[in-house]
Amino acid sequence: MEASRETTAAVHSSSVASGRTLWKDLARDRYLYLLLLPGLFLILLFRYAPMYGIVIAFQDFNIFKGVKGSEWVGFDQFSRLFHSPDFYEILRNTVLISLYKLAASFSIPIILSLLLNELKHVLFKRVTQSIIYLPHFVSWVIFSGIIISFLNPVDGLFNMIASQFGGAKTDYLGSSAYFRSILVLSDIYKEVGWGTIIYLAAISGVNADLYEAARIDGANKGRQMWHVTLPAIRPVIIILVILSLANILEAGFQQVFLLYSPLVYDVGDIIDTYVYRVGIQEANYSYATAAGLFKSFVAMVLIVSVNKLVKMSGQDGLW
Amino acid sequence: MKRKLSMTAMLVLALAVTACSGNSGNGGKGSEASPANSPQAGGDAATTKPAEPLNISMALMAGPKTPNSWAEKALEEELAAKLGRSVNVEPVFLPDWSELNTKINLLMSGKDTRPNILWTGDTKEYLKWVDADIVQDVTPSLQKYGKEIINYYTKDTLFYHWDPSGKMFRIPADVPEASYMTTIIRKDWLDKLGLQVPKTLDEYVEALRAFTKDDPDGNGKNDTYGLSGDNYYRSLLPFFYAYGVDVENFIRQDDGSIKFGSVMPEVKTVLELLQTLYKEGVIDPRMSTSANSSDQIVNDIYASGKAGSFYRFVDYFNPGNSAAVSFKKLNPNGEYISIDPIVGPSGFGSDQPDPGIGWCYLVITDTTNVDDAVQVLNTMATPETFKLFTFGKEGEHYEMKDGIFTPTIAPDEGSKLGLGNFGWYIQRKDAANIKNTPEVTALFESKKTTSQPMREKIVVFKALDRPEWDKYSADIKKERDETFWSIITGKKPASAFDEFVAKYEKMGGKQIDEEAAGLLDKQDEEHKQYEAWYSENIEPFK
Amino acid sequence: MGLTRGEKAFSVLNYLFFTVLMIVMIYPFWYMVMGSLSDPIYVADGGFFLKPAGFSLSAYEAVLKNVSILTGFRVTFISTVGGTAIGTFLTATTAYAISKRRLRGRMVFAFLVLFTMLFNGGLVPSYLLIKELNMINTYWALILPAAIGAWNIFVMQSFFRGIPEELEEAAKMDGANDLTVFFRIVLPLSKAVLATIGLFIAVWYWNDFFSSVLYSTDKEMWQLQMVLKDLISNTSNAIAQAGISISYQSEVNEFTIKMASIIVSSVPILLVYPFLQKHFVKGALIGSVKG
Repeated sequence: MEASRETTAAVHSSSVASGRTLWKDLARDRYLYLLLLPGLFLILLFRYAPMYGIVIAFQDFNIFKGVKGSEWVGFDQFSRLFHSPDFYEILRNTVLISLYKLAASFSIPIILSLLLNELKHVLFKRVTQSIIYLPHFVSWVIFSGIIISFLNPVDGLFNMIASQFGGAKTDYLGSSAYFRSILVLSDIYKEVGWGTIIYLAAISGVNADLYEAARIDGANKGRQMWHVTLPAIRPVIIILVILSLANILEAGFQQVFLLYSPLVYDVGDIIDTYVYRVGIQEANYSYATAAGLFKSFVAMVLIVSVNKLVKMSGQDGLW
Repeated sequence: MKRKLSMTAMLVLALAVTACSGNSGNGGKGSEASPANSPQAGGDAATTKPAEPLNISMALMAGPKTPNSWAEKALEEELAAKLGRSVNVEPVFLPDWSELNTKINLLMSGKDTRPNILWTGDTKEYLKWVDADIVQDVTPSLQKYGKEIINYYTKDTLFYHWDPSGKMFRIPADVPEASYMTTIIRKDWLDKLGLQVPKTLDEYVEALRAFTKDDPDGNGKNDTYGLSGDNYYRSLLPFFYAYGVDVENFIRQDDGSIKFGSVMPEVKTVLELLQTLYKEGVIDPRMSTSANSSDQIVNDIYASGKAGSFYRFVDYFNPGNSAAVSFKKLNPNGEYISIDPIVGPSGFGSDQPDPGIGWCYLVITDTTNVDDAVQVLNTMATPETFKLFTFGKEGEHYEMKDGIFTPTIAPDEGSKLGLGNFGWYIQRKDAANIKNTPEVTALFESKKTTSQPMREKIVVFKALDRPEWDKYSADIKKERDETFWSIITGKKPASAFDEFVAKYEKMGGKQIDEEAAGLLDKQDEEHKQYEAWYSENIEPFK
Repeated sequence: MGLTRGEKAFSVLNYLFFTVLMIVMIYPFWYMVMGSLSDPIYVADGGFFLKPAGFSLSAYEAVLKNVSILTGFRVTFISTVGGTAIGTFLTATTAYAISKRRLRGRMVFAFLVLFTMLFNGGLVPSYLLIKELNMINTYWALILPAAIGAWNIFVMQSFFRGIPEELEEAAKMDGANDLTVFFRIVLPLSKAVLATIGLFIAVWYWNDFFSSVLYSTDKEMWQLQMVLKDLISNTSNAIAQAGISISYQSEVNEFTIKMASIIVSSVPILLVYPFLQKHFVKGALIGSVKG
């Protein structure tokens, strides 16, 4: 079928073929290259031209000496990061928090999208969609204020309810036991509605005939979801999961920064907040760049590996 | 076809819109070296021909940041009158606090984007600017044209901006009052509970306990606190200072040595006391987390009248202060008063001294004639000009009713006029700051004396280059904050303090201590040189 | 073909669930609207703002009368419209091209795109580039650097891959080339993803403030969010910091102003999604594929 023809062509083009085949392919695909050109140009210009800045991580950067004139320090900045007293702690916090968030951020929106899809009343469905993503538009600056006001130990809603039932008032924000959960749950609340948009778009593309066929075969709603919808959107899910790995060490600086305090450094201090505090003291570009580079590198390794696994299992990966 | 057409149309529209919507060209306004100026970057005596117009660009951070404002025109007129030539002021508005340093660094990175006068807060980049020769020495110009400036700033203040090479590369822009915070307490609660105004630590604690337990607002609910504030150590100052310790600074010891405040043994006593009080519910639990991290929230607590004591701003006693206004509306019979610092068991007590360095300063870059720039700043420093661009014209924008400053225009009108745009450029705190009532002015005066005890104990470092401190302090502070707040909230026992002290040495404390001692010696040496320099170079020109 | 009892029950529960969810999700906005309409003096009492504390339009006045609010709106509006148009279009063209397995060098291009998602040169080099290109204080600087992003490209690519090859083959047999296929077949069938990515891009531009920090020295080229951030921090300066006594705003509370500024700035962008929803139509492919 077509699939095998395409793969043969792919194999052909990836091998170092004779010049004749190369030109032929280029000519055949000339319009595709035309389509590719403007976007590629923008990327090369605005992303790659400044890319030399990465070397700042290996220097003691002085903006007046520029990249060429600044002193080279090799891996010193990285070494400093890795040898900081709490590095293990901040790394662990970063990984745990982002893993929890990652897991929640793709599982819950999928379920919600499936349920949303079942709403037959068009107006209700549209209104619902437009409302459940509202928290996404509330910035962390504001939202953290709301969270703090709900959780505060003096007159926060949760504590008021607890004291009604005779419980003691807890300082949730200052408690190591609760802090990570607060981070993850509030993030879910904020982003889950927005996350459904992409899945709904995918679900809307599923061929209605397939549902008919399944129904005729006696499948109920649940079965339809499982055997029709999910497999149909599986490629999109996979891509989104792989892409979300880019954030594996991105636990959410703004949110943590606004909600944390010394009482919860042990569970809540992440790479970015730590580097930020050092930066306040030192205004050291290179340190921050090195930390960023470390995070990107880990993410890259993870994405490439997972992508490979995905392709080995026969699915399409990112490339 | 329709899709293609509409996509193309959108694209064309987008391009047309972006191309046609006027942009102000490149390089921004006003940061280029003005060709109309005479030679740049030199300490030479000015050779400006008086008739030539002067373009001066200034980086501005304060106020409503209004482009082309009345205040700007008014300033230009004043400058023209004083300098004898037409002046064009070109503001370069800086973004908000979180992006400020990024913007300043970018602006300074190229000669064509450097403002003539840069306003900046504390930044490590300053040393790099001096090294790269892009900021100019202002001493000769101050001697010729800077009378107002050198008369306003004290000798002590200018020391911190003086370079041992005998030059001054920066001018302080806003030096806070000698002490601008005070112990505040609810007078009506004291009266209601039959308590005297507390003077000692024991009396103070007793008052705070009473505030918490004895329902001073008489509403039958157990909802009041003794003490509240933000989650910085300064809110707990009455306790720390009663024992003569400040955990964020180096403290002079009786034997002449200096020690980092966080590891002084008295701190443990204070932490234990705070732990007890926290457990009893005397201390607002919000103080220990991000809950009270914003000034607005604390102001709201102040206004709500649910806490009996704060260590906070003298400015609260200005009738126009918004927290004070809210408080009066919500608690018509309530009254806050300012009291003298609480004294501890050894009779020691103090208010928080401001180091007198200034939290922001101005540099004159290599893009303009330094004499011109100093002339401009000097004019801005005069009380009349200062009042003009800060408050407007008396009679037109405000009135002085019985010596009390009363604006006659609405806040947004003031913003449109650009009042406040030129704030933090030689900010005057004396009589020219007519916003303070006479009572508040008197209060600020008295704070000078009450903050003296700690002023003598706290070491203020002049050096900007403190490599050991930079290297280790972030981690030490993290450890300190975690430990201290855990002790206060009861999460850890007071013995955790001893562990912290032990760790301090290993975490770089030793290096920091050595460096500090060395810096202090050097500083004392420099001070002697400075004294000589000052009496030669500044004193005669006042 | 009626619904089973189980399905009916499920349906009812579903509607119920979403009604509750809507109430829960709308709460922060309700809070913000109520807070923005509150009288600054009474806000100090705190509370959950099920209704405004006192009533006052002072916060909206302060925001809407801000000296730069109009220029902020203009700048953001233009860069959002321009950026969304350019960005969505170029994301689509790029994604389509690399979605074709037959394209020579596809892996290289895809990797180039992926790399930019994780690594970037940093602020200073980007700034220097824009300066070099004489784009400081222009709309181009606010639009172009951010127009296409790796994430969007990969997501679109995945959607494009989901379009059956047969459709394209059929068109090709009728003499169409890749361009015609792209514009006449692929794009019309991709309304859902174009609308989605377009929405994501539009929201990004609308909320962006940092580009104006980097690339605009003229306050008249500040984006809306930058103007609002500045307004808020100016308010808190005026109120909070003692020795810094420039204050004409004696009856102002940072909280109400924050709330009003969020409402003012979000309402326009929130209106976009409902208009796009009609593009999320199911079954766009009915009848176009046989068996």
